[in-house]
Amino acid sequence: MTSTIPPVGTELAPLRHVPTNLQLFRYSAVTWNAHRIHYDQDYASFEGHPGVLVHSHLHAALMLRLVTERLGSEWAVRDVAYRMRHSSVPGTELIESARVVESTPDRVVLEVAEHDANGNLCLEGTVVAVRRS
Amino acid sequence: MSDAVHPLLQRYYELARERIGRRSWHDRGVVDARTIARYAVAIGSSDQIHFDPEHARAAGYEDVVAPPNFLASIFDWTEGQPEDRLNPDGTDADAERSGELSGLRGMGAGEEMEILQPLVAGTHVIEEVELVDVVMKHGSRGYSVFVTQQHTFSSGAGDVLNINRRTVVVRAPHEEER
Repeated sequence: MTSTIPPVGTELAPLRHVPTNLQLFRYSAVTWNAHRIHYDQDYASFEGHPGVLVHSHLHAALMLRLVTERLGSEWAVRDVAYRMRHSSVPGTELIESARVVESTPDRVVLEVAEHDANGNLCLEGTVVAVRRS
Repeated sequence: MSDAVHPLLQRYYELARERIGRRSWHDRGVVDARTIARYAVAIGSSDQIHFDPEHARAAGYEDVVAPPNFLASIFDWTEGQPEDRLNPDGTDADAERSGELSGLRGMGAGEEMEILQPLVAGTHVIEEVELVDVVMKHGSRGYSVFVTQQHTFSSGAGDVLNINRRTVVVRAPHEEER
């Protein structure tokens, strides 16, 4: 946890993560998501995907883990906006990154991105964090 | 790949457009600490504010607190349909992409989320859902329909916790792209 205010231009230490089939199963289970593209290889292929797909909300959760774990508990995520640009499959490493673009004592704005190990941009967006009172 | 709009996608687009502005309210029940902890495990988090009430209270929360996109991520808040009533892709047969439209493919495209209060264990959650936009677009993979719903989550006491606008992209059946 950090108590300092990250200045504009700060790059948060990236979060690297490799989703697994087991993780996708547990994410589907806890969110009660029966969509077969996330756990059924044959069905995912039938729909034209290269394999079962990492959930868009799991991509977002990993990006938000980067923000909350790097900023620490003195900050709370207030606003999030992101677009999915590329799907990914288990076994492919995802790299979450964030850069501070605005910074005041009570508010930090970050540009966030997620790339896969092949260099594809999977997710891009903005997160606003506010200092908890 | 044909450059024409697939008839199923066109039909879905027309039906979805008719529902713009419709709202519904749902009692989602009480979110418990176990579910929050399981969600945290599923995303790979080990932050103790999601698991340990004492740790969460020391950090200023009333109880264990959910990761930021927990509320937005729950795909189905109900007990779910029996398997023989699900669409071929596993989604709810009562949803809009059912019956003649069940061959359409959908996936998450993005989201805008405003988190007004943290979700802590024991909160009774009420959800309001409104279909706010349905747009047909043409891109490198042919035509797609982008459907945006606004989900407003409130506590049982009436405090707004989280507002998110979630977009799903719907595409024609895969074989039709060949």
